[in-house]
This record gives sequence, structure tokens and C-alpha cells, in this order.
Amino acid sequence: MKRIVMLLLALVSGLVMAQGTISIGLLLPFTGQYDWVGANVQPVAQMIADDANASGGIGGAQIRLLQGDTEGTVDAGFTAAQKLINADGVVALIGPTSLSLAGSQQLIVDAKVPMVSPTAGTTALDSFNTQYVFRTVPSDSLGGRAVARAATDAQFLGRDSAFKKVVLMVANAPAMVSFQAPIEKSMTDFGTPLLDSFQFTPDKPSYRTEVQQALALDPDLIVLVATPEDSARVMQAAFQAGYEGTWFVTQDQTTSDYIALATPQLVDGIYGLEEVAAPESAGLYDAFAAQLKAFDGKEPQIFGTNTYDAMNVVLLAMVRAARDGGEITRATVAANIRPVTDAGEGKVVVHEYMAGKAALLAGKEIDYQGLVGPIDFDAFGNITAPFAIKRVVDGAWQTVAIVPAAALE
Amino acid sequence: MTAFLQTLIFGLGTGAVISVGAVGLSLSYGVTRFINFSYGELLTLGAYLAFVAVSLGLSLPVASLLAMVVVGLIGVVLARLLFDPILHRGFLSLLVTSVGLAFVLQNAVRMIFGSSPTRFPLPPLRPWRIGALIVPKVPVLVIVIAALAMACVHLLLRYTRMGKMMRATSDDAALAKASGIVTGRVLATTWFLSAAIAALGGVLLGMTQIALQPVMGWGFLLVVFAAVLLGGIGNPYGAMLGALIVGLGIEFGAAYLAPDYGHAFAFLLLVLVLLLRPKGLLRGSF
Amino acid sequence: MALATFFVGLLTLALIYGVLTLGLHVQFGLAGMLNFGHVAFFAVGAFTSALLSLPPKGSEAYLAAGGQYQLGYGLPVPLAFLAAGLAGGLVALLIGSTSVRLGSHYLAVATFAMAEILRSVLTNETWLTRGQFGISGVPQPLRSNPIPAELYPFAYLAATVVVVALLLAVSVRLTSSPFGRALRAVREDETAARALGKPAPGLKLRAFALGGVLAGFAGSLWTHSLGIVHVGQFVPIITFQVWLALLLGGRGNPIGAVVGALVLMAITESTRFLGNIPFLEPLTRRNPSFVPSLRFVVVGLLLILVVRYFPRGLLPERLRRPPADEPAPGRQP
Repeated sequence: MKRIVMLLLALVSGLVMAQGTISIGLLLPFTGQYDWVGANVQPVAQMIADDANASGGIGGAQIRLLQGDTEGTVDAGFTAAQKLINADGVVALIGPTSLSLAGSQQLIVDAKVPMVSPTAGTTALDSFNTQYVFRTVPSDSLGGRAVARAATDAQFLGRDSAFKKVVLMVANAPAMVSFQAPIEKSMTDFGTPLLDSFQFTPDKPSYRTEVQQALALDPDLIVLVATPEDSARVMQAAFQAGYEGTWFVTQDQTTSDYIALATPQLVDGIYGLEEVAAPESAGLYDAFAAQLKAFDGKEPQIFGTNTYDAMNVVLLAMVRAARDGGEITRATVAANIRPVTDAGEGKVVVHEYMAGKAALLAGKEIDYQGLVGPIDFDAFGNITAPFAIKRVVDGAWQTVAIVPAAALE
Repeated sequence: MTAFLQTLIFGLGTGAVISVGAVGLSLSYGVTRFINFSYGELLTLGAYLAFVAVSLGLSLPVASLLAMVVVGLIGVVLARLLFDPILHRGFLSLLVTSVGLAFVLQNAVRMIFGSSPTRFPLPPLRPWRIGALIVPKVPVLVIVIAALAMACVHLLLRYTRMGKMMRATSDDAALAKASGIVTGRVLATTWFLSAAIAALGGVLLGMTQIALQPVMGWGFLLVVFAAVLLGGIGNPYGAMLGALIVGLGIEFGAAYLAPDYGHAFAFLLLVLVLLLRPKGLLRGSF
Repeated sequence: MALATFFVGLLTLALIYGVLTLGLHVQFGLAGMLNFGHVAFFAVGAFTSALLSLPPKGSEAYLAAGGQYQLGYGLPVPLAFLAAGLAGGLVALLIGSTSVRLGSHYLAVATFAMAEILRSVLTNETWLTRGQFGISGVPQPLRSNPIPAELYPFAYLAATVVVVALLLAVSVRLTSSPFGRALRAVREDETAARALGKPAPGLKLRAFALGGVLAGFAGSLWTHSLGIVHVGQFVPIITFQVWLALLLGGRGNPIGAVVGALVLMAITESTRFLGNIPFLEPLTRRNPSFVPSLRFVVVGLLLILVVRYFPRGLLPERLRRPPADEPAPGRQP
């Protein structure tokens, strides 16, 4: 009986879609302990889809976003992917996260659905697939290296000297563990081996013991890779234990929200890592933030910029596929992602959807360069990005230096 | 030595947060005799309601008291609606109903407040320094509040008429009914108290964790269960003792054995205790 | 075709949960034991099957799969499947022997506690499980040659149906066997059963182990269907889902156990389509988690309602009447 109902609903939704819509799936957690990930991605994606629809859609069709709640578990990642790919017939996927990848990767590759993940930094994707897997977030191996580069080189810190006594704390969760090995190796490569490096269990109510372990060696810098909530707790515990040194946090914490969560008093002067495009893109970020504020009422959150780039890439690939009457299918979208992002002679450099669409429809070729970086995918769909080293000054994040991709050699 | 004392303070602090939740759960179990999986959501509600009250301008203590009353009432209404009609049905039906209720409550919070973590309105506090000893403020505050709450519960159970009726009903419901103790009212009072205490537990959890998330109570519930079982289910004093042991176990285990295993120590302790005393430390009755 | 793949994929997963529920049915429906650590046996089965069948470290296949794990023995999958059942049974024996004498609620939390300890160990011992990275490239027999990848889900479903049918047949036999009757006697009244010479703890322990074997099989089926094994799968909510399935289908009936799993999957997956309803879209803009949370509210309400109005589940237990009640043919009442 229930199966019949399911079938009917699937057919109905299929009918609804048949009338000139193209569906893009958001394969992300919207409930469970990672519910904030989906909540951060959706508004940005919707904002860009709205722009596209307001200007006539793509190839005559409207863009529709469908949620596939992965609930933060493996099985739900599987069933959500099944729904989006096989029942809803989505043409592309935004997502999944590092965890839900486990349940969905086989489905995605089998069905040849192009996926562009704005969140999955796991090194497991570094050499996974050459045709359908893309991400607009640099692999954690790069991010980790950037942290190490900055920590060991005063020019990137805005200080007199680099840090000499560094401890690394990494939360034992799929999205975080990828940082550990690259940071360890890079610190040694750059001449300041870590004093200590350990993983800790996420979502504990108190981190007193872990902090004790970190403070035992009297560090001047603790590199902390964890969720915002756990990071706030760790910093709180260290504060209460009398820690006087500073912190280096990763992209998830380099937001205004985090400053409020951990309280400005606790985070004054801490360092943070962020992906960033060329220095001239500062204006672009402000434009994006203003647009999002007008759309959603909030500042960009974690993964906001990554999502902006992911959606633009997907939509521009669709525009290119549809031009000259072409069809928008999974195959054509996948095939058009590199043509709109690769650098090349005579290509028009664009930074957002409308300009890209205009150039493409005028018969030109484009090179999309995003907020996160130049967005040039390597053979496995990875990007490199320059990184910004930021610091909390007067209650807000400010850029101290840019670490160019070349400096990470 | 200082490390030991610090671990002790934190262990007591952790134990204090758990104890409040554990006592509430124990009270309701004593009278209803089933494991209520929606209990953790009452902690979540308590923390979020306190947050809302503070945003409306109330001070944290007043907000917490208000949250306790409101959640207490919600607890009674839900129990009346969902649990009382099927109390005779047996363990599995009640358990599944409580799981369904947990889904509803946790996701209702998520629907209303969204998924982005909210900051619990407590300013960061530098520790006290006594010689070489660093004494953090939050665990001490939590211990004091929890101790006060436990004292109130004790007074209630020992010296008030309602408390005596609750104890009698917990001991033997049939006999209590036969001897004219009105079990319907006892049930309602138990639900109210259990929920109100849960709300306080949520506030204390919020103070300790700082970040509020819809999933916070559910994640904490398991450790609370461990404490209740360890102390002897149905006995609030056992729950207090169990919570203390679990709290100390978590902190000492993490400090001296392996920090990665956090909550696992609580469960290890529980298993060990049950092997030796299958009904928990203080047995079932109070 | 895509829609067929959708149903096939979900049906396969539902049947795997059906096997899990069957195991719980043996433990609770037959022997009355409250096992809240069932996911532990599922985990043990999955990792055993995966690690035994993965190509050995250093081999060509290992490198081709981008291997980074430590253990792999390259055994054929059917063998790994059997070993998974064995492993599940052994772990159940271990856990059961410590708790089988405990009163019901204590057993519940003790089993839960032990499952959580196991999960902690699996998460932290990354040399074995690759922790939060998981292991991919778990062998999927006959995939790509000769069965093409698009048809593989159908083939796998067929295999799963065969396995489940076999296990179900065995379970039905078990239920009406002397062992099954003795277990039910113990469940109904332990003291009386003891008086009649049925040693309760030994019987319960065997039932517990059998449930573990079934869960181990389920773990093997699961890991080979997805081609990965990841410790993040084995969280407490899985145990609760199996309990829900057991309740929905009727606790005393092995067929009910499998049906219950199908019904639960139908409930949780059909509610996903709430998100396709157009008029809910404005709410999604305000709070992206709104519809996904609403889905769980609906699931929770459905559970509450089903329990309220179908307390015995959809398929009741059919108790055989004791022979003395049946009048002999020809005898006047």
C-alpha cells in the first residue's frame, strides 16, 4: 500500500517536472548533527537559481532545486542519492559531504551524474574520478599545507616572528581528519615539526582533558581543526585553564558567526585560513555578501563562497550545453564544466552568472573565476586556491596575507 | 596533585550536569516503569526556551526558572496525551512512542530555530586561581546549582505528602491505588517534576557546551541512561550517585587513560557495575 | 529504468534491514531479550566481510583500488559472507554471556553500552577500519564482468532475495521447532520453564548468538551492496530503526520482521517526497531545514499512531494451541 503511494508521488513529481524544469539536487545534510551544512548551502544556491530563472531560465527551462537530506548518515546518503538521481532525475548534484560520499559515490558514478561539492575537502577525493566528480573546495591536503606554511613564516602572519612551539588538535570526524597528515608533514617540511599532534572525539560537552594534553608542552600556537561548536568549547576550556598563546583555525571558523559563538574576548588575535581568489577579488566578495544579505538577511556562512562557485559552474555549463539548441543532460553538463572554467586564449574572464551567460550566448568562450580561486579543475576535479591568512582584529576577521599556490610547493 | 584536583573538579562538574538529568529520568521511571527516549528532548527544549527568554530581556536565572515551568507543563500535556493512554500496553509500545515523540520534538525545534548553532547566553569566565590550582568557574557553578536542585528534590520526596505518595507509588502501584493514594495526580506531578528538572539539566548543559543545537539533548541522553542504570533504576538517590560516578569516570578515564574514548568510559563503568550488581548500586526502590 | 533502479535499490536496503530485524526477532520476539546493541553485530559482520574479501595489501588489485587499508585477505565473497555471520554470532556470544542474566532494562542499556564501546574502538583504531575515511573498493562479485554496472543492482537484489528467503525459511522452522517453543516458554514465564527443566540462560544465550549471526549476515550483504564500509554507519539510530521495524511488523512472527522492515523503509523514504510539493517551497527559503525536519515530524507522528492503533504490529504472532484443547476426532464434547 505504502509502495503504491510512493510510486504515485514519484510519478506526480515527475509530471510536475516535465513541464520545462531542470532539477539540480542538493545532496547534503539538513537534519542531524550536520544540519547547518545544508542550511548554509541552500540560500546561496537558491539565490543564483533565482537569478537564472528571472532572466529566462536556461535553454527555455526553469531551474529547480531539490533537497536530498543525507541526515549525516551513510544509509540516508544512499537513499537520498537514489531519490535525487533515479526518482527525481536531477541533471547535476551540489554536494555531497565527505561522510555521505560513502553511501552515494557508487550511485553517482554509475549514473554518470556530475557532482560539484562545495564542502567535501576529504583527501579521499584527491584521485577518485576523472569525469563526474568536481569540487569547489580545495582538498584538505592543500589547506593543511597552507596552515603550516603560514605558521612557519612570519611574512604571512603580520608578526615579528613565526611560531616555534606548535601543537595540532584535529577532531575525529570525516570532514576534519584529512587535515592531520598534510599539516604534520608540511610542518616538518617547513622546518618546525609539531610538538604534538592528536585527534579528539567530536561533540563532547567538555574538552578539558584534551586541552590539558595540548597545554602540557607549553605551545605558543595551537592549530585547531574542528566544527565551530567544538572549537568554541576547546577554546573555552583552554581559556579557563589559563592558556595565553594563540590559535590557528580553519575555514569553518573564519566567519563572523564564529566570533559571536566563541565570544570576541576569546578569539581576539587568532589566525584563520580561508580560500580566496586573487587579491583583486575582495570587491567580488563584498558584492556577493551584499547580494546574499539582501536575499537572505544573513552574512555568508561556511561554504557560502564555495557554493557560489559551485552553482555558477553548474549553471554556466548548462548554458553552454544549451546554446545552439543543445540538450541539457547529465552527459552534456559534465562535458561542459571544464570548457567554462579552464583558462585559455581569447576567453572572456567572468566572475558571475549573468556576465558568463551573456558572453556565452554572444558566441564567446568563458573562463569562470570564482570567489574561492581561479576554479581550474585538475584531472580529478580538484582545484587549487590561494589561501588568505586572516586574523581577528577588533572583533572582525581581517586579511593579513595571501599565500599563493606557488608558495605551497 | 594539581592535575588530580583539577580532574576531580571537572569530574564533579560533569557529574553534576548528568545528575540533574538523571534524577528527572529516575523520577519518571520510578512511577511509569519504561525507558523514555524522548526525555533528552526536554533538555533541548529547556535550553532553547531559556535562550529565548534571555533574548526577550530576562536574566538567565529567571529565564531558566521560566523554562523549567513551561517545559514542566509541556511534559505533563505530552504524557497525558501520548503515554498515559498506553501505560498498560507494555514496554515496547511505550518505547516506540517515546522514540516517535523524540523525532517530533527535536525536529520541531529544528523547524522553529533552524540548524545554525546558537550561542547560549553565558559570558566567558576566567578561572579562579588558588595557589597553583586553576579552578574553572563554570563547573563550580553547575555543581552548586545541581546540588541545590538535588536538595530540593530530596526535601520534596522526604517531607512532603506528594513526595511520600510518589515514593509509595514507585514501590508498589497497585497497593498505592488500593490504599487510596490518588495515583492520577501523582502521575501528573511526577511528569511535571521530571520535565522541569530536565529543563534545568538542559540549561546546565547549555552552560557547559555553550553551543545550542537541536540534537544536543539526544546526544546527551545516552550518558544519562548510563548514570540512571548504574545507580539503580527508579531510585533518584541512585541516579545522583550514578551520575557522579559516571562524571568522574569520564574525566578520569579521559585524563589518565585515553582521551579519545570519552563517553565510552561511562559505558564501560556501567557494564562493570552491572556485572557485579545486576540491579545497579542502590537497587530499585527508594 | 531509473525509477526501477530507485525501487530496486531501496528494496535491497529494506531487505537487508529485514535480515537485521529477523535477528532481533529471534532475540526478542522468541526469547524476550531486550537487545539495544544490535548495530554492533551489524558492524562486526560488515567489517569482517569487507576485510576478508578485500584484496591483500600490496597486491595489484589493492593498488588499483587506491588502497590505503592494512588488512585484506582476498577471500571469495560467499566465504566472507559466512565468516561475517560467524563473527556476528561470536561477538553476540561474548556480549550475551555477560548480560544474559540481567533483568530486562539492565540488559537493554548494557547491550547499548557495549555497542557504543565497540563503535568507539572501531572509530579510533584507524589501522583496522580507516576510521572516518572508510574503506572503499569492497569487492562486489560479478560486477562489470559479466554483469554490466547498470544491471548490477537488479542482480544484487535477486541474490539478496534468495538469501533472505533462505534465512526466513530457517527462521520459520526455528520458531515452530522444540527450540523455538522452549524459547517462547522461557519468554512467557521463566520460572515455570525452569521448573519444567528448560535451562533458561543457556537457551537465551543461544538465541542471542543466533540473532547475532543473522545481523552479521546483514552486515555482509550491506557492505557488498554499496562497495564501501564506513564506521559512521553503525550508530545507535540504526538499532532503534530495527526496533521500530520489529514493532511495526509484529514481534512474534519471522515474516512480520521482514515485512516490518519494508514498511518502515516505505514510511521513511516516501516522506522524502514531501520536498517535491511545490507550495512548501517558500518555507524552505526561510529555513532550509524546515521540510527535512517536517519529514521527521511526520515519521514520528506515524510511529506514534501506528503503535497506538496497531499495538501488536501488522502481523500477529500465531500461537499454536496446546494439544489438550483440541478435541479428538469423534469424541463428544
